[in-house]
Formats: sequence, structure tokens, C-alpha cells
Amino acid sequence: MAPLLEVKNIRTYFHTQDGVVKAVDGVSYDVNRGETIALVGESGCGKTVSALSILRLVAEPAGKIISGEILFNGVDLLKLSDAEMHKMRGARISIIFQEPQTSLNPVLTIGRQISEGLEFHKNMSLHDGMLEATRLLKLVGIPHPERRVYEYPHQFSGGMRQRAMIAIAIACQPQLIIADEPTTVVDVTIQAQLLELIRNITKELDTALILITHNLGIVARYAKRVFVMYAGNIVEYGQALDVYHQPCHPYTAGLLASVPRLDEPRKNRLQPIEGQPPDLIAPPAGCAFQARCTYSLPQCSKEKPVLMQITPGHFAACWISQRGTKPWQK
Amino acid sequence: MGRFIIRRVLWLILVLFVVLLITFILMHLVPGGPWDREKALAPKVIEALNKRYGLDLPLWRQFVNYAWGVLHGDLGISYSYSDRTVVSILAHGIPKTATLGILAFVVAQAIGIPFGVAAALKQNSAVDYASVLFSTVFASIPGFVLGILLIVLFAVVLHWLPTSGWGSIQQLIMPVFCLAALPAAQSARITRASTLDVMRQDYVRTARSKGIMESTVRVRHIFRNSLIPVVTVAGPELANLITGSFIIENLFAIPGVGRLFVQGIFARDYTLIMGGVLFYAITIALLNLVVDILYAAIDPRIRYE
Repeated sequence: MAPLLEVKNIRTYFHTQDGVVKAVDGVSYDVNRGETIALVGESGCGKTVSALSILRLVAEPAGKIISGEILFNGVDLLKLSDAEMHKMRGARISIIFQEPQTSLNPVLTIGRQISEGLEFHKNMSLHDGMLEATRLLKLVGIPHPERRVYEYPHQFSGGMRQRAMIAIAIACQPQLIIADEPTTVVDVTIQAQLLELIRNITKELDTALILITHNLGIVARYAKRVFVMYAGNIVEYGQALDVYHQPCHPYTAGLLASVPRLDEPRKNRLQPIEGQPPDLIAPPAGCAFQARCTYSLPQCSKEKPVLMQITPGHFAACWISQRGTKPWQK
Repeated sequence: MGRFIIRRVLWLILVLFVVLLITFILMHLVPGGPWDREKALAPKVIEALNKRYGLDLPLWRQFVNYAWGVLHGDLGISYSYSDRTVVSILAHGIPKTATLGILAFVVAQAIGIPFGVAAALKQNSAVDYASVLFSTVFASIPGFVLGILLIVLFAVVLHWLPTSGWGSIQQLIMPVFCLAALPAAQSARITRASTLDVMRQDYVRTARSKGIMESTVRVRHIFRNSLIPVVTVAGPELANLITGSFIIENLFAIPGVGRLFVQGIFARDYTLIMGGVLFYAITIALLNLVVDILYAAIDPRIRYE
């Protein structure tokens, strides 16, 4: 069966005063029905922009999807009219944003913000929409939903706002939910609760999920496949466990070394990845990670590596691992 | 909310008392008095006048008498408009000034807000540049210059409108426009800036991600939030317009309070000055209260305990 979503070689550029920022520069990935994938990378690597591109919510006119295809159920979203795109957003594909503090409208009740999508997509009345919103709030674990539904975002805590965001995202039972760092701004205990909630709900509704995160630690638990992004490109992807245990790109290995682990002695210091990501206005000629890579070969600064299969189902864009070596493996 | 309003009204009474006291002191600190004339009056006459109006009493007694009168709705007798009470003078002028002010306010917002929103939604378009240009021009031209230009054009050259006076709709058009120009320009600028700010907010992106109509996003999510700063400045603006403009009222020969008040100051007409200040203070305080109540209606984060 064809995947639910196929992102094919999209490029999303931003026109700024300093030049064209190639935020997403030829990224491809796919999501199967009901599957959870993770998009991993550090801040500014283009993971959010690639997700916003799916919904065509990149801030115009500065940002623009230059080329590529985004096939959703075989239909190219980039070719849809605005009216057809409106019917996709919220109804078939929805998104949970990173900042629950600023992502909810401060002057509308929580219920109204859940119900407005239902009113538009399911032709519900405001009254029915609010009843449904109450049910959804209960589903995402908000106590006293019948009262809370009439409250405003400032009366909710950070974690509860993010629960309300989840309620908005699942309101119309979409086939795909994009969760853009849904737990970054809440504290650790709430993070786990929210991720469990998202997982349970997507499982129950058989919804596919794109989990965008910079935390490789949570990926192994929630996602089936992982796509690692660096400087606007995907540098490695494969089954979550393979990537986790046998990273084929030094960047992935670096990310893993910088996350604290419970199964290793405490005396090991966390290893940061030295240096800064490259300038996306004028990216270097060879591998984008070359300047920060301790294992780089002469070839790395000349030719840009492409994704190649290293082991079955496990791809990496790295000249070193494509030679069959993994010097970062201990 | 009810308790909030009651408390604010109680505060208002205290504020008004302080305002009156300060005005009273300042008024008596200024050199000169109500009986100064080109040709000095005979000392006997001044003594008689002072006695008649109670100006021979110690200052504190004068103030107490005045304040007592105010509490009973008596603002005293004007010195320059012989034997007319200040209440009747104000009652004559306020309706005209208020009509002018409210009309100007409505015109200003009706022009300023839509222009500001249109400019923000189509940033860097012809509409935007036109709105910035007009708001800069009208914010910089003084009212009396604009008034004279209008009179020259519409009254002298085209003969479409009467030059001045009070009583017909035609006579209202030019003064209302002159008064509205500056607040319209300010409203347009503030609306544009706040709409641009709100458009970049995360919650607008959230609203778009729900797929709802773009018009709904604009009205429900953008417009309502962008109105908050507009309301903030609208209150003082309205107070300013209602209390009248000496220049515009003089230019168009409108017998409103703005003109009366300034004439009262020149004549050291103590009771008229106090009456005018009282009117200004009450208007500004009440409109600020209205703005605060409106605030709570627009923005649920604001609650008065």
C-alpha cells in the first residue's frame, strides 16, 4: 500500500535581506498510515519548516516552497487550490505547535478554539461544537472539562494548554498529526505524560504522527522510524532502534553522545558537538557537517554525500560510513 | 465588576476635589484679577465687586464656599458674563462641543481603523503606502492650517459650504473634519502597527492550521486582538475631542466650551475657569473608566477584583 504521506525532494527557501536562506534543501521522507516517525535535529536545521511546508503554512512572502512534491493519499498538496488546502488543514492533517503559551488565542475561550475547526469542517453548530470540545478536553485528561471549556488560555497551566492544543489537533480526527516539539517548554514530568497521551491517542484513532524533536532519547520509545536532519538535509534515516544503536552518521552519533543516559556510569561527561551549524545562505561545497566532524576525509570537503543504504533499510549521507567504517562506534 | 466601578467613582470624587484645589491655588497665584481693565477701576468699585462675589473673604473660605456650592450643583456666577450662572453657560456650550467631538471621534475611527487594518493586511502595497502617507500628512498639519485651507477651498472657491456658524449640517462638516484629521491619522497608525504585530503571533498560525476561512482568521483572531491598543488611545482621544478645541471653535465661530474656557482664562473669570476644569476632569475620568470596562470586555486576561 502506498504511504499516507510522501514528501519528495522539497526545497523551502526564505528570502531575507542577507540573501536566500535554504532552510529545507531537498528533503524526502514518507509516513505510512498509522505510523509514527520522528524528525530529529538541532534548532535551525529545518525540521519545523519542513513540517510547516506540508500544511503550506510557511510564512509568506519571505518563505516559499521552491520545488518538490508532497503527496498525501497520492494527491500533491502543493498543487491544491487554496480552498482545497483549507479542507485539508485541521481536518485531514493537523499540527501541535511547540509553544502552548503563545499558540492559543488569549481572547477566545479554549472551547471556542477547539470548536471552530469542527464548525468549519463538520458543519457543527457552536453549541454542538462546544459539547464536542468538552468531550475532547475530557479525552486529553483535563479535569472538570464542562467548566474548563469556557475558560481562557491564561487560566490554564502550560501542560494543560498543550493538552488543549492536542484536543484542537485531534478534533476532526485527522489522518496525520504533526507534533512540533510538543514537549519542549513543559517540565520533564509533564513531558512524559504528554508524549504518552499523544501516543495513546494516535494509536486509538489510528492516526499517523510526525514527531519533531531534538531529543533522540524520546525517539526510540515513540517512533518506528527516525529521520535525522542537519542543515536543511536529511543525513540519516532508518528503523529507530538501528539508528539508535548503530548510527551511520557522525552527527547522529554526536547527538546520541550529548544526551544523558541512565545505562551508563555517571562519571562519563556528556560530549557536546563542537562548532556551529553552517550558514544556510552559503552552505559549504562538500558535506555540511564536515567542519564539525572529527573523522572527516579529504573527500568530505569537496563532494556533497548523498543518502545511500548502509545496511538494509538504514540510509546515511556520509562518505565515511559509505566506505564501510564507523570510527565513532566504540 | 460592580465593586470596581463603585470604587473608581469614589476615587473620582477625591481626584476631582484635588483637581479643583490645585486649579484654585494656581488661579490665585497668577498675577491679575477679574477686575483688571485697560483703565483701572476705582478702588471703591473693586471693593464693592469683591464683596458682592465673596472675593474679600480669606482664600480658604472662598474655596470652602466654592466646594460647598459644587456639592449642591452650584458652580457660581460668571464675572464676565454678568449675572449668568456658570452652569447655564456650560449647559449652553457643552452640547455643541460634545456633538462636534463625538462626530469627529466617530469619523476618525471610521476612517482610521479600516485604513490601518487594510494597510497591515496588504503591507508594502499601494494601500499601505497611501495610508502611511495620509496619516503622516494629517498628523503633521495643525488644525487651524487645515481649517483655513478647507475654508478657502470649500467656502471661498467652490461655495459648497458655509464658512462658519452653528445650526446646520453643512456648518458641521468642516469643523468635524478638521477635528477628526489628527485622531484618524493616529488611529490608522496604531491599528496598522498592532495588526502587523498580531498577524505574526503564533496563535494566528494555529488558527490557520485549523483550515478555517481566512476571513474568520482575520476577524476573530487578528482584529479582536489588534483592537486592544486602539481602545487604549481612543479614550483620551475622545475626551480630548469632547472637551473642545479653542482653535477650531474660534475658526468656525462655534459657541462651544473650548472657546468659553479660554476666554474665561483671559478674563480671570475664576468661576468659569473652575467650571471648565471640572467639566474636563469629569469627562476624562469617566472616559478612562469606560475604556477600562471595555478592556475587560475585549481582553479576558484583564479582570478587576
